[in-house]
Amino acid sequence: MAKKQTMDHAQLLVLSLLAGEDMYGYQMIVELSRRSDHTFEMKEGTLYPVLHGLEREGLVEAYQQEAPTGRVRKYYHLTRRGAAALKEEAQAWQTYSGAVNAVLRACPALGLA
Amino acid sequence: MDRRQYTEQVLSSLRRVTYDERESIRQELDGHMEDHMEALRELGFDEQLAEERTLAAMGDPAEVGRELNRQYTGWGWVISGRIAKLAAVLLVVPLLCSPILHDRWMGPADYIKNRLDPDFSGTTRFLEYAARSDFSPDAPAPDMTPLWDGAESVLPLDIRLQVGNDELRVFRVSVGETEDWDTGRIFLAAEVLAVAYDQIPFGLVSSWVLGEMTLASQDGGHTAWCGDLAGQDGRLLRIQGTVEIQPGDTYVTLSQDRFGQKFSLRIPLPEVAP
Amino acid sequence: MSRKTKLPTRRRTARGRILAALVMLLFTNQILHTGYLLPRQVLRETEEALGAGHLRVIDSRWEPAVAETHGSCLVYLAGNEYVTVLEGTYLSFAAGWTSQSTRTLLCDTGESLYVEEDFFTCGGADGENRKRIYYLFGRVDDPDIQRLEFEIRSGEDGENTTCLTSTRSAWMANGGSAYFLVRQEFEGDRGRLDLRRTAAYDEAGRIVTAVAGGT
Repeated sequence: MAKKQTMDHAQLLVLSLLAGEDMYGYQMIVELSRRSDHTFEMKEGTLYPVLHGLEREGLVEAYQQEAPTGRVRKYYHLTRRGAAALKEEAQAWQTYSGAVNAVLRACPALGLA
Repeated sequence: MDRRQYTEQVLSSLRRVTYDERESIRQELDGHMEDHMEALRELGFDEQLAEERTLAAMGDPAEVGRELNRQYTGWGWVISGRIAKLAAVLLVVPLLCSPILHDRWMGPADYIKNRLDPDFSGTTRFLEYAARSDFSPDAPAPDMTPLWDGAESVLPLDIRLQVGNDELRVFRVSVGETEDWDTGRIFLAAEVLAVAYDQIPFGLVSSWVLGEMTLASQDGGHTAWCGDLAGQDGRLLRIQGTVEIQPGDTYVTLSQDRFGQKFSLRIPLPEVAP
Repeated sequence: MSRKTKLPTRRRTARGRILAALVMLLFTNQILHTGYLLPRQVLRETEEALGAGHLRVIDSRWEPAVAETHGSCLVYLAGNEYVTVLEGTYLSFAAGWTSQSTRTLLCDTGESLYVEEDFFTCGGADGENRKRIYYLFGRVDDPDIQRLEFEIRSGEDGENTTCLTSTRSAWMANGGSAYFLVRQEFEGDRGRLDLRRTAAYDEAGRIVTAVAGGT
């Protein structure tokens, strides 16, 4: 079997969200839901273990910023290492999912061709 | 369950976090739920319903707590960081007790001043004591009483010499009449003042080499010990020597030959007005 | 753009604190000349104050129960061509390794024999089981000298005499000279304790030189 990526898909999705701009937790949930057309609606609490894990590995870093309303929020930023990891994992995912799709397409019973 | 309880339950699963990290996670979770509720309020939900839906969307608090706890492994950095913090705090103690801050005779400002522009500043009180051999006000002063108050001619100098990894700097010579304390004989004398310090600021200077030099008159007929008046914490030597000279002498010699450090420095004398 | 404050990670705070601690240590060692983590640094401090150049360590000994330092003491015999030093160092409570005592023996006068003495008090408080650990150290520059005999005076009025012998086989060669270190325990911590006479013998038993007291 082809190698599945070393990162689980939640981490990959979070990294890709941060590739565009720095975001805070709730903002990521909203954005993820929007981009995936509501397919991905992960349990919001489980976002934080993912974020803290990425921070520990040095793929993201966090900072606090005060909004004009006075709310202080913890923002996450993709580091250079994170960007490199994102690229690598995204590529691996493309390869993997492409292979899965190809096999499924070749199956006459599914009618996906 | 309300918001507070949710957060508490998540935090209760966290066993390996520091106090600061725990508070940060609490703030983050509370903030997230507040953001979600804000969005729901804008859509027209009432407080109670908004909270219910938010909590439902957050997921099982025990699972969230478990997963979060898995991300905080290992106390390595925390322990080493705390040990380092303790060490840094302990190292402040010697600073507070050190002669640098509490030396009655010379603090760090005087030390630096004497390196750059020596004049024994900050040491006048000590020199009054040093002139009395047993530090009591009634004892007779030895014959190395600093002359400069009564000197007839004074010549400021800047003669520097590298001795080992220290620097010797002669900064003043004076000529004048002085009295022998034992016999009462009055004679012409030259006094040399110098400082010595390590090349590295606040380093230790060799008091065995530069604290015990010989001062000789021009013809070598008279010699005297020329040494460190203070010898406090070993960083700066305040050197003074007085030797008898003949009228018409133009120099005295400051020399040393110890531990392989050998030098002989000629110190010009000021002219004495007849 | 409103204010951003960077948030620290475990690794970053730890690294910052370790760096701060190292800077403080460097400052304390170099500027305050205290807080030494190694006993050799104490010896280097003595080197600087002497100005005779680097001192090579010839021998070192642990003294387990020295009263002045409330604990054990590491004694160094060190020297070079100009000077020999007996340095007692100990690990103090809050200031790292510190010097307990330094006994300096000048060896640059061209003699054939240099001797010096020092002692440490040892034992419990209140005068019980007190004793003094007496050291004799020095350098022999004459190759003919094979044996040294020391006459040590002790007791309330110096009435006791102890003779100690040291032969070349026990001496340590270093830098072209032979150094000796003799240790003897004396009961009690009162009364005189000093070296009255040192006699040096060649292998035939003839006296080569004798010095009164130490050099």
